[in-house]
Amino acid sequence: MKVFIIAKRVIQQLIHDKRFLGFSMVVPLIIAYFLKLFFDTMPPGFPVENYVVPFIAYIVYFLTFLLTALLVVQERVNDTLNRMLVNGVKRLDIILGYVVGYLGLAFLQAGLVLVEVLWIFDLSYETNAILAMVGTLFLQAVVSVLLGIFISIFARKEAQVIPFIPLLVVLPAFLSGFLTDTALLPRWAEILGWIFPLKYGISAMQAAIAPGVDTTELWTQLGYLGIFLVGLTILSAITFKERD
Amino acid sequence: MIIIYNSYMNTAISVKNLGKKYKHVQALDNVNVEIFTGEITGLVGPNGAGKSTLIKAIVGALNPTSGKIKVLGLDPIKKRWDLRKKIGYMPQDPALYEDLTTRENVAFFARIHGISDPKQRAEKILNELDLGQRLKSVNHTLSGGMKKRVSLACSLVHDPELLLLDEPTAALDPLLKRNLWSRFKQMSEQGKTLFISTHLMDEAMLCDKVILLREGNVIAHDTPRNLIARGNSNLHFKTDKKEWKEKVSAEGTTMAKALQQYGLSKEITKLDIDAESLEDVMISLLNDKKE
Repeated sequence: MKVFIIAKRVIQQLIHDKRFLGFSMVVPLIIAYFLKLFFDTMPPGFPVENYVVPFIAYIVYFLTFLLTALLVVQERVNDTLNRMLVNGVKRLDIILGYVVGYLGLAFLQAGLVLVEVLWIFDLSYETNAILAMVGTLFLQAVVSVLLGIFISIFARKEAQVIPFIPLLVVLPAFLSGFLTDTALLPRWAEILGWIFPLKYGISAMQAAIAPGVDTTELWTQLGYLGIFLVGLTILSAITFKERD
Repeated sequence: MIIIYNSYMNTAISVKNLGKKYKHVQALDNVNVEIFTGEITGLVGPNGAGKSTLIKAIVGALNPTSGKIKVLGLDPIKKRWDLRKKIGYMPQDPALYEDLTTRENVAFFARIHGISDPKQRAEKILNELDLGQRLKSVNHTLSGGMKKRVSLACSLVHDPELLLLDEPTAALDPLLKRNLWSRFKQMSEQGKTLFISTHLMDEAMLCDKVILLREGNVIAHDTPRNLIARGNSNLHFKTDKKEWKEKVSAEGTTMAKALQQYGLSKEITKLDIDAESLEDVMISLLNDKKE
């Protein structure tokens, strides 16, 4: 298994690209701050936490997805992907190597936003609720890395990732229960929301902040994310083109 | 002579009736090639002739449309995991990680091949390729020629039996080119097989054999000397009274016959032989086949 060799290389690349690293750390924090300014305009008694806590899952989802997709496409464009394969690296090693490599970044990103959101919105939760949030963000990050790898298969250059943004970043914001209760949407739109892994990450975050932590709901949603994890790994491994 | 040659040489690469079609483009068409162990084979041809496609097919990076390939006795697709330990492949583009240092790039490929001391091995090979001063330089700060050498280091780091190099000396200065070729010669003497695509005829002259590709077809596969012999020589004769030219084959016996008729009489005061170069022969071979 060459998973850890790939992961080490991915981490080395991230460390060298300080601008990229800084950008992916600072931007979510800035977004969270603007979120605070936005919610400060809401009338008193507005249930801010129902929006801002799931929002952390959304940031992790779209940034991780986007960064992974762009970097894997870059590997394809530079022909390094092909070179790895010719040097005997298996498709699954590459996929899992990326997951392990990016996990550190995604986790750090999620952790920082979580701390900032809890601090600036003055939210406090029991340890088990915090652990449930961390676990959810972790799984959400893994699924987003896999989604990024899967989408990269359909792009031959970096710019070709852009058309996927409205589809996979903007649309799920409306259909995943982050901005509105999906039960209030037309049935077909609610069902459409099921195909986005973000929906389950948001639901899990909502379960984590429910009074006393809604454990059954939390595990159910994490289970769905687990299905996405396995499904996307298999799908990526199958569709990942090894030869022209 | 060819029979003796075949009897003791092992086949490193055997390509039979190979075809590769991309939608409407026939990139390779019924290619038949046999490369022997320890040989340096130059792959020559105009842009789009199919050189990179042939190399990719040999390393198992593409699915042929037809035909069979054996590399070091193995099928490059079915036995790819066994084969890939034994081959070193350098693509036409550097195919390196721009954000990593030269040493990190080479050490990464060393680790992939299970080398126990990847950093030391990377340093050693980079030193040999005259990049010892740039071990900690991030790849995007290097010149095109340096990147080529880092890429070459990545393909040499696991000491492969067979090297497939796609234009390895493009963008290198003459001195570096010469150094690399003496290294290739050394490797060949150690029994390694090298398959090198190039646009440069002076490099093709250094190969044991040259394959000429055009529009996916092998037009010629021979030693550079034999290929030159397929060309013509212009003989410029001069006596006190007249001056004339004759075009004869550059092949030795034909040339001897052409000269015998003159018995090189004392009347001939000057004789210049203007032999076609390998490049001239290649161009006329390419044009012949077109016609």
